[in-house]
Amino acid sequence: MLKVNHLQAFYGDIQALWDISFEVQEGEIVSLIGANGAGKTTTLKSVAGLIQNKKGEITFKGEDITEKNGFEMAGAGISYVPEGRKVFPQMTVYENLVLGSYNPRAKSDRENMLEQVYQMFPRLKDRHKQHAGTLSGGEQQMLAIGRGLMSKPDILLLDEPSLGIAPILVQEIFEKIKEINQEGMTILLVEQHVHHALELSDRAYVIEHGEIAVSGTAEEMLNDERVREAYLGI
Amino acid sequence: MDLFLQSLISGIMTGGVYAIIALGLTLIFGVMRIINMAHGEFLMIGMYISYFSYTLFHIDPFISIVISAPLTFLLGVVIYRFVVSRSQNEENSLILTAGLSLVLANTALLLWSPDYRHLKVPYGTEVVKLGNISVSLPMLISFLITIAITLLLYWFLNKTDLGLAIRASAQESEAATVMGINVKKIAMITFGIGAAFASISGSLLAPALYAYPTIGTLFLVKAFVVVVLGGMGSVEGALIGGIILGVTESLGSVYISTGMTDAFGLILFLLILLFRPSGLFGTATR
Repeated sequence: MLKVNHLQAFYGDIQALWDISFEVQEGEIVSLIGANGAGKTTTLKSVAGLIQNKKGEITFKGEDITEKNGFEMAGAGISYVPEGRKVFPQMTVYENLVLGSYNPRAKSDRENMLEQVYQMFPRLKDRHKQHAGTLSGGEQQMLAIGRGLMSKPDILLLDEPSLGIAPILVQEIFEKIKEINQEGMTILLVEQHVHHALELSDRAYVIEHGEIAVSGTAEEMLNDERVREAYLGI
Repeated sequence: MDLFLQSLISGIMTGGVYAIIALGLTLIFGVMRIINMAHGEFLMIGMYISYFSYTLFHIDPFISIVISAPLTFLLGVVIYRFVVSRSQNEENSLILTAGLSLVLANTALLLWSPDYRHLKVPYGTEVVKLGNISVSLPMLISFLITIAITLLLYWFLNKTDLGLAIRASAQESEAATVMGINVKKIAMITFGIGAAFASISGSLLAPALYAYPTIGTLFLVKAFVVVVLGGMGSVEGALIGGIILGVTESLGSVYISTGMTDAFGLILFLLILLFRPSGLFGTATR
C-alpha cells in the first residue's frame, strides 16, 4: 500500500535521512524503531508531505506522492498523528474532531465518523465541550488519534503515541491502536517503547543514522541479538 | 449624571468602531503572527470608497460597506499574495507592512490630494432621544452595524469550516496542514478579511470624520491600544477593549480636556503594558 524507495530528506543543508526504503501492506501494523535522532519522525513527516526537501520516491496505492503538499495528504488517504499530539488547544474536543474531517472525502461522512470515534473513545464524548488544552496528556493523545481517524484515512501514521503520557494510560493507548488495526486500519507506528511496539506490530524496521539497519517480522526482531541489546535492553 | 451617561454612551458607540478596526488587526496577528502596520491604510481606503460612492453615485455610506468590504478584501488578498507572503519572519513583515503603509498613503495623496474631504449625509446631525440622553443617528447606525458584524464574525469563526480552519491555522499550523488545510491560502484569506474589517470601519467613520490620506496612522495606534487591551488574537477581547478605549476617550474629553482625547488611549496603553502585559483577557503564554 505504502512504498518508500531510497528516501533522502534534508532540513536546510543538513541531511537527516540518507537511504530509507520500506513498505507497508494493507492491514498491517509496521513499526519504525531506532534511537532519538535516528530519523523516525523525519521519515513519517516525509510521508505526510511535511518535509518538502527530499529525494527518492514515495508511492501510495500505486500513486507517486513524493511531490504532494502536506495539505493534500488527508485527501489522498494518509493521516499523520503528530508527535506531541498537537491538538488545537483553544478549541473544543468537538471542534478538533470536526477539523479532522475537513478534507472533502471525509466531510460528507462527518456525523457517522464522529459517532465511531466517540464509541471508541467514550471519554472524548464526555468532554466534547471542553477545550482540548485542558485535557490530560493521555486524553489529548486519544483526541489526536480520534482526529486522525476522522479524516477516513487508508493509513494512519502514529508518531510517538505514548510520549509524555501517564504509564497507566500507555497500555490503554496501545490497546486502542490494536483495536483500530483489527477493524482494518493500516498503521505505521513510530514508538520509543520498543517492546510494546514490537508486540503490537506485524513487522518492523530499525533506523540508524538515517538508514534502515535491520528489518523483519516483529517476532524476528524480538529475538534479534542486536535489537535486544540496543533497544530492548536485554 | 446626564452628562456622564451621555458621554458613556457615546464612548461605547465609538468603541464599537474601534473594536471592528482592532478585530481585523488581531485576526491577522493570530493567524500569521504579522503585525500589519498598513492596517490603518485599509481604513483610509474604506473611507474614500464611501466618500466617492456618495459624492459620485449617491450611495449611502452605510450601504457602501457592501462595496468597500469586498473591494478591500480583494486588495488585501492581492497584496498578501504578491507582497506580504514574501516576508520570511516577523521582523521582516513588520518592516514590509510599514513600507506598504507609506506606499498606500502616498498613492492616496497622489490620487486624491491632501484635501480634507467631508461626506455630508442629510441625516448627519439628526439625533435620537433616549430620555435625557441624545445619540447621533449616524453613530447609532454605525454601532448597530458594528454589533451585527461582530456577531457575524463570531459565528463565522465558530460555526463554519473555513472559520475553524482559520482558528486551527492560528493555533497549530502544522497540525492544520495535516487536516488538509492549505495554511498559506488561509493566511491569504485572513489578510483579506482583516483588510475588509479595517475598510468597514472606515466606511462607518466616513459620515463623522474628515477623510484624508494619512488618517490611517491615527487609527492604527488606536487599534494597537485595543488589541493590547484585549489580548493579542482574541475576538471578545477586541470588542471589550474597543469599548473601553471609546469610553476612556469620551469620559476623558468631557471631564479632563477635549484636546487630549487621543492621548488618553496612549495613557491607557502604558498602564496596561505596565500592569497587565498580556492584556485584560489575554492568557499568559505557557
